[in-house]
Amino acid sequence: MAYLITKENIKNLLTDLIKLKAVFAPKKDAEDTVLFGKLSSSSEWHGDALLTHTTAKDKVYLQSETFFKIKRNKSGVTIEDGPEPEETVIFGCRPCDARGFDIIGKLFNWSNFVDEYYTKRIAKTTIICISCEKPESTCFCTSFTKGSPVNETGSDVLLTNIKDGKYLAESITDKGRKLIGDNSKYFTEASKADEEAKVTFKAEAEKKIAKKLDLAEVKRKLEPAFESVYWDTVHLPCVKCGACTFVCPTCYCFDITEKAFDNINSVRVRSWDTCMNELFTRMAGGVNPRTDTKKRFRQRFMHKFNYHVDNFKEELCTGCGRCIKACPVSIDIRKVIEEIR
Amino acid sequence: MDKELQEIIKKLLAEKKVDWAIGYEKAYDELSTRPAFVQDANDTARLIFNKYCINNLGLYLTKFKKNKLAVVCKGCDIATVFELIKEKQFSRENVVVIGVACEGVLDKKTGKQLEKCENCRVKQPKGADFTVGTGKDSAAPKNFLDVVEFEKKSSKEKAEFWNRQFEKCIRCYACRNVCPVCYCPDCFANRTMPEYLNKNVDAEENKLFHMIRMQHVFGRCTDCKACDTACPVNIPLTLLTKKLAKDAKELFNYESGADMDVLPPLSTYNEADSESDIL
Repeated sequence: MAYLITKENIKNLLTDLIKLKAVFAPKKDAEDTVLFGKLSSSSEWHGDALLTHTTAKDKVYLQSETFFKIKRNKSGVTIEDGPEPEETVIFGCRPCDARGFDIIGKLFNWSNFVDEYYTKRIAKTTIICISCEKPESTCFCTSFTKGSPVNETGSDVLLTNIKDGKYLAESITDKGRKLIGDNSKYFTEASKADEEAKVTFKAEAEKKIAKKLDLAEVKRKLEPAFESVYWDTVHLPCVKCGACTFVCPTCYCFDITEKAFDNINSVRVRSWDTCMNELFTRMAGGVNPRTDTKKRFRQRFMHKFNYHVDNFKEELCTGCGRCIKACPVSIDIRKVIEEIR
Repeated sequence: MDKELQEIIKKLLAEKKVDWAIGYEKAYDELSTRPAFVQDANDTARLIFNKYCINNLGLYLTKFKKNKLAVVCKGCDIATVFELIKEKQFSRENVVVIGVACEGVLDKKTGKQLEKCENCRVKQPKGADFTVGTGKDSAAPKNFLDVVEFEKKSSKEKAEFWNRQFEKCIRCYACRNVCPVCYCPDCFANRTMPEYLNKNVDAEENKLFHMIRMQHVFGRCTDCKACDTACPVNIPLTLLTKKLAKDAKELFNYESGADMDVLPPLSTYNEADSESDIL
């Protein structure tokens, strides 16, 4: 079902939501960094930037998630669970960010395994996504089967700016329908013409994305390329920081560590980890199967475009292009996978 | 200029004077460049130099210790090369420094010229083996006005400012990994036994990381701004590195990479040394 909402009413809707839930939306700070921050007023929403510097991933899959705390007190030792998630709205993310939740959601519910921390949080999160009007030179979402500047996968509500200040609002999931139902005073019913305007919007936006990769071909080339000499030189500029993986909407690797304050009081935390880090594969005793920086570099591409496709029939990438922009030495993921030999 | 640069490197590679040449090439759009590694004399056509060549290629010296290298350096990057040679991380004979005249470089994220370029006195590179182009040095010396301004703030204001910055930090370690003088093979942040730094990412832990890193690079940091421009969330690390440069200058009259014969202040001891940092 599609509705219309004006920009003014979006702000009113935000004002109402802020009173009830934790609302995260792009916010700009004094250093011009745009990040998903908790809104205290609707005027803080910065809607001009296409992409935030980091993704909204960390609002559901926290960079550091406390599993439990062990505390000693007078009556003995107690184990206290980490904080319960609160009702959350992620507002103003992009289709590539939203699709990231769909991709890692499958991973965290793989086979019979359910990751309760992720699942609990995503169940309490409503995602309101905004279609991209002006994709940038680093965008390549259209290379993916489901990727598009107006794709709804992963979103609960998708907003598309079809004419000046008027947004087409589509409810995608039950959570989305509930949100629109609860706030129906801000929405009006959309006409057939409005829905058709989205088709034009889509065509216009997709035209701006110049780069389209043949990912089936990439997969075919990657499979036998594990020992290829290609990796010997392509990794050289890479400095092996984790910027690319930490700004990625789909990278999900983590490490579980304990922080001990004394011999009893401690806290167990799950934190994001990155395959670019030497520690990532270092085992107890010091053995490391991936000491070589080349091997770590190769792993990132192999995982995203080869192994993950084997397991989930889709790439571990949404084409947001953040890794390209965040890379201190401007390594282009598109170029690396395209030139594999 | 690019042609001249390519010819020099072509000759060095063809005559087998160096194993690798490290320069710049165009990256994903007109505003971005990336480090280029060239081994073949016929592969030099992709090398360029322009105002978007922001990376400090001195970084790669410590990663190619066994090779003879030719490195394209802006005037400011040469200070890094000298600093590393001084710290015995690389021998002078193994590196051919190709200095390029520079009119200032732009940050790819903001499109603005870097602050360090305003009062740059090495636009015309000094101490290089080959020099390409001519640059006009700034008449005014480097100033520390922004640091002086920041120092005037109260402790509370300073703490608020830095807490806000370190809350943004995602501990991707881009700042550390692009830092030419952060070459420890086993960084304290990666140690697990004992564990100096927990993996838990929060403002406190992040602050600890940055403060320890700053201590470690004092008197060695050439204020090249590599960490500042690499930060994916724009933490103004330049304020910290500039403060280091200011302190080194004021307390020890030392400028990193400037003079090959003077040792870094923390590598030497003199009874007259400042003790202002001892609590």
